[in-house]
Amino acid sequence: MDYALEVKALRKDYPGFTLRDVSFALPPGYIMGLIGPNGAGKTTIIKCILNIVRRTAGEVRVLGRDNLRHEREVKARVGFVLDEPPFYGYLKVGTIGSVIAPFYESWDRALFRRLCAEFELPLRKRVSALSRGMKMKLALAVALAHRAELILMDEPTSGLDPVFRRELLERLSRLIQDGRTSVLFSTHITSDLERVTDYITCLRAGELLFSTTRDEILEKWAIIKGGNELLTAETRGLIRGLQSGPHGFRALTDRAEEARRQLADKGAVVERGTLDDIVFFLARENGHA
Amino acid sequence: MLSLVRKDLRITRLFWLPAAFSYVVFLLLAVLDPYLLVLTGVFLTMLLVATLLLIDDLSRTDPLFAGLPLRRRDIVTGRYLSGGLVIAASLGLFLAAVAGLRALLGPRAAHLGVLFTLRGVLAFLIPALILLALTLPLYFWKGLGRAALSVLGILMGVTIVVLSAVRSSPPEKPGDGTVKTGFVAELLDRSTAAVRGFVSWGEAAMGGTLFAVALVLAVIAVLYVSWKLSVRLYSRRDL
Repeated sequence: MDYALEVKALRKDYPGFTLRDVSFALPPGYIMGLIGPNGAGKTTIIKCILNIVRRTAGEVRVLGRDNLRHEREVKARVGFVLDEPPFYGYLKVGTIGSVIAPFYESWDRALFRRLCAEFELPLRKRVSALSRGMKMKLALAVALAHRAELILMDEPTSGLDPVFRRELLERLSRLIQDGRTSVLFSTHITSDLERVTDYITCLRAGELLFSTTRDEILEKWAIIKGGNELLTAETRGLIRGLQSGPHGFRALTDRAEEARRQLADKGAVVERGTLDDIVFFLARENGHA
Repeated sequence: MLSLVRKDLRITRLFWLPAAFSYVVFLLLAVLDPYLLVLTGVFLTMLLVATLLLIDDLSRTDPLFAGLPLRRRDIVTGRYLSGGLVIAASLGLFLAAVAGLRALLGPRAAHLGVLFTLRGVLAFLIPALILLALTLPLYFWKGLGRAALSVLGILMGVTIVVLSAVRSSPPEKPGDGTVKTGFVAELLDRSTAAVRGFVSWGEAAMGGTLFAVALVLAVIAVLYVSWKLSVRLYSRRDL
């Protein structure tokens, strides 16, 4: 099967940080969320896929092709939104479209204008006069205007107001309905992911913690709440992150079923965790905080 | 690649009018020494090239273009082409300004006609292209700020070496132990004399045309090595 994106044993060494042998795959027609605390390596992965930073080792295949050997062909089918949209401040929004258009054979001028209108981006306004959220919208319009098959987004929802954030997520959901477009996006706002993602990949300090379907995560991971007397060695074996106080504890487990079997009749509450909970507790696991 | 050149022309639309104005202002200082004129022209040209690089540097567009359907090699090639185009356009501005100067001053500036010959054009293009060949690998390796500092450092170093040579060389007239014309004028005199000497030697040894062809080939070789180096350095750089 040709994945929209396949990352195998990807490694990137920086002084003071290493992205360690990360592997995951995104099938065509799905949305994957990339989560993890600051410095986890989310941006590095997206930049390695685009060859904005050089990987130290590993392999990246985009739409079935190696991203370095077929660099131009691969990038022509990829749209991207970077954390800091890098556009010329003194150019007008419409001119940015004209500057980028010649780089893509499949650039759709009418679609770009339509997207700008939908995003309420005035074509005659200078980029320097746009707010961060508006710049992000411009980056989105640029990423979508050549009908990319894989869209990579680094924190696309940061700086956006809740209304547009919701609209963006709905747009992404509609985008993948054709079965050929896929989206990988990193975010700190994990509630966004719960709405639209099919797959979630979680990183911590350059290491892959898991990469699986959202349903599997919500099925396997849970929050345990109970009195401190329940914190036995057996219980601790189930726990992947703990927050305790004088009146009890909250903990994360990736064995929800087992936790329910062992602890539910002892007075503990085992409830569905949110992605926010998962990121929070995993960041604190084994002194990682 | 051509899209990159088109992009560069588009983003530099703003600076051509001030550039033309600068040429007129500088040349209206009525400098009538053709060497000084060429020096001024090359200096202005390098300012234009630096401005082109500065626009992208300030807008931090490196990651944007690295993410577009381009290889690093294409980005580097596009930059060399744009640099060449800026130099060619700048030569046009330079010659137009010199023509204006000649029209304004009449017979007093008749000797500037040499700048419209192949010799004059090469005297402008060769140093400009060599400076471009020196600057771009540093730019692709370390970014504009460090490249500018390095080029400045190299030029200052060369100047100091030449100045030291001027100072330690024996005076031209016996018994005249002091430099009467001032250091810069002395430096200019001696360096232009050296250039003249080199050109005379080359033309005597090979003939005018062959020497010009040899110079052009040497500059092409320097540019090729510079381009190869830039591709290698930029391909390894994380943006």
